[in-house]
Amino acid sequence: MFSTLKKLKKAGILGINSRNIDYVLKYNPRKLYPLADNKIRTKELASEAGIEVPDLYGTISSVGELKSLRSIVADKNDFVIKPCRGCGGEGITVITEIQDDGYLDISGKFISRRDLQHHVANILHGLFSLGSRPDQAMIEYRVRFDQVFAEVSYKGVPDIRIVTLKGVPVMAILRLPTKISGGKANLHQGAIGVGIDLAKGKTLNGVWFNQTVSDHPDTGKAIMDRIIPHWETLLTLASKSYGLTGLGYQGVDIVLDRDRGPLLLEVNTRPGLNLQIANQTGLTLRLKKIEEALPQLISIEEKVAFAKENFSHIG
Amino acid sequence: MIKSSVTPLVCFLLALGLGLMSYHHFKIGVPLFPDFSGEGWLIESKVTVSPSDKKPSIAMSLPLDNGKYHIENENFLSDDFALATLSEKGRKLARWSSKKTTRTNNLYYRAQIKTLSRDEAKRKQLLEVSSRKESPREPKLVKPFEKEKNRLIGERIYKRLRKVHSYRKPLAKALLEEALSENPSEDFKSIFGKNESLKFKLTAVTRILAAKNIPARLARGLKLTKPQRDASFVYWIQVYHGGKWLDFDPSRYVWESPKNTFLWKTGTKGIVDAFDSKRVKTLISISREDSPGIAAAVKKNRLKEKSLGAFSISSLPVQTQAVYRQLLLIPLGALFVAFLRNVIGLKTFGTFMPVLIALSFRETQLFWGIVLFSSIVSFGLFIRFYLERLKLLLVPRLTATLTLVIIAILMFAFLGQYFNIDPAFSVALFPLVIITMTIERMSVVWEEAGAREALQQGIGSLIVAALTYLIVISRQLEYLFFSFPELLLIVLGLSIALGRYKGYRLTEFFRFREIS
Repeated sequence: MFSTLKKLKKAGILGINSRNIDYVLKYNPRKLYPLADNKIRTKELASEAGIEVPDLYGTISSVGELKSLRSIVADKNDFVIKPCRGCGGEGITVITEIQDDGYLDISGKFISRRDLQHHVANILHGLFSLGSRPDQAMIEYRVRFDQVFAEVSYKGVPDIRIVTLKGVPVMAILRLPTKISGGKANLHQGAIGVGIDLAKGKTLNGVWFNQTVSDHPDTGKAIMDRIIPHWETLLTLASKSYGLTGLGYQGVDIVLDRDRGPLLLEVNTRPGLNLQIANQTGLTLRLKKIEEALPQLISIEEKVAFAKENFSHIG
Repeated sequence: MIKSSVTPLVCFLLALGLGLMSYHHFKIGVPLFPDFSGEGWLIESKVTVSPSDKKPSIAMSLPLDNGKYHIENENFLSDDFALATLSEKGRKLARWSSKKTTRTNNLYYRAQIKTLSRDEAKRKQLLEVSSRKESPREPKLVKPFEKEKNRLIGERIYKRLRKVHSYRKPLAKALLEEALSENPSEDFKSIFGKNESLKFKLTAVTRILAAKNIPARLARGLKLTKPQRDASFVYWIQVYHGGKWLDFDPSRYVWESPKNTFLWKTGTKGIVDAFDSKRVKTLISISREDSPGIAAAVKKNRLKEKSLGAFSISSLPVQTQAVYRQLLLIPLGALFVAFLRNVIGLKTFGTFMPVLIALSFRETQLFWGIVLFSSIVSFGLFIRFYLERLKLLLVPRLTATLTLVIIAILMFAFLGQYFNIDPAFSVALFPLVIITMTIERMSVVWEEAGAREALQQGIGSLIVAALTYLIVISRQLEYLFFSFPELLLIVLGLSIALGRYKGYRLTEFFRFREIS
């Protein structure tokens, strides 16, 4: 057991206790949480700062407004409904086609108008929100993911999470939906986590249910050595996100849209630790290195450059 | 920003706790280990007297040494009443009286009882027998039935049995067997009428015997096996034979006094007799006294109990003590759960759910606790999956689940009665709301993260609850926290220290084992 302890220490693996005490509790003041938990607020802040986000078509805050759903999406072809304070990707419905009497969702299933209203009502009553608090539903632009990922994802939208400390990118992970994950980009639901070389934005090995995989189980295509487009922009976007919320330690979720490029999806106040497995390296050493260098890193460019220089996997 | 170092605070709390503890132990002499040799019990009766215009007077029969029980000490607390105790004809009586009262009074009687070892009890018995004067006369008989009809029926039963049994003991036994059987004879049925109570049936038997000049009487006592907040009396019967009273235990049909029972009073009348006072309520509570050490320490150091009172829970009323005994171990259980979660890394539903479940296991015992808990949760989950399909709103859905949980518990009570499993009744003491929330969260985890994760967390919670149970039932720990409440400061210190634990969780060794 002590040898395992030594090994974990040497690899700089960050445990939950240490993450909470040394980073979450230290860098994230509780009063800032609402900025990240409330996705509408996050979106507003991002728009003000000139960061690209999926367009917000409208919000529904009360049962009385349920009927307005139709007018909100009147001139659209497709859209996404999300709980404003949702967690774990729950309660998200992706509509790909609007028909006369209802909608078609991403799996091609028909959803009647009433069914969709019931779903929105569930969102409002807090079925998917943190602590079951009453919530708002947001209707927004449906991301068409970049073709670069088409070979290695099954339905759903792959996303990229970049963990940052005071705006300095620390580690990143690409999450690829699978058949088992039901198109969701959530690791414990069965999505594949892929490590990313921070210097070049190149994918490393994938981890699927704690096992290393080199090919996507549904498409059979290789996961490794794919270059993520707009990598520099992605890092910059993640770095800027610190300025939005003031949360020192955060996980920034970004999607790559075919037409609009990187879009900020949401910000996480206590990002998970699984990306250490996907990247085969620990967070602690990198975080310590950043904490030492922080006084010298002022501008976004400096922070991104520091990350690219120091956190590359290939020598 | 949080202060980075909690070390001084933790050290202060630990030092304060240990300091107070050593003061109590070394200076006052409170022992660290309870004295389990002769079991001690504390019996307290509380008589509540409502205000009265007249001059209320309350008489209470007091218990005497009997069998293996020895009364070490007696205390009275009388509020506005004046107290007189008197002994007459081998009986002891407390009489409280007062002028008219304008407020509700509580009259307390507290007896410290020691269970003697078998040798001690025998020696005492011999001593009593030799000192007792011969009593040639047979004791007085109880009153026969008032109704002529019952007297005749009694006569008839007696005659019928007399034909078979010629001696007192077998005759009395046969009478009791007939009276107490689940299907008593028509004769007994007409005497009992609608009254089904054991006390009434036993009294009827004493009356039948009395009519034939055989002295018999009702006896009542308290079962001293576990602490109770509202204890009720156990009844049996005594028949006079060969110059002494013989006990007959109606629950076992043997000529012995009921097991572990402390005799309080003989005779049909209750222990409390109230004159000119309406609405008198009596509540009897029993608690374990494993701290005769405190009393001894107080005596030795000539300290008044008051001076210790500020720290000692044993100065509180017995009824309150029982609550504190349970309360004091809860923080320790919670600290243990925190340890299992943050250092070992076990996953549980809810933070304190396991502690509450562990507390309810005290009533059901571990095996039945686990069986009942798993059955209720499984049943709840099963139905909850159906509710999921109905697409109900959150709060009404929780209400429905709660209702189902209560229906499940009711079913267990019925089943328990049918199969004669006592613990099934205690299931009502389960924290129902907590179980409801557990079902809800478990089903959400089941949907979102899969059955494996849900079962893992569910079984994890159960294991944590079972381990915590071992803590909350420990009599040694209960004694320690009861005698040294300052241990709570140590628990507080440790939980603050644990709150700053940055090391790995044991389960993370497995989670990250792939990385080398």
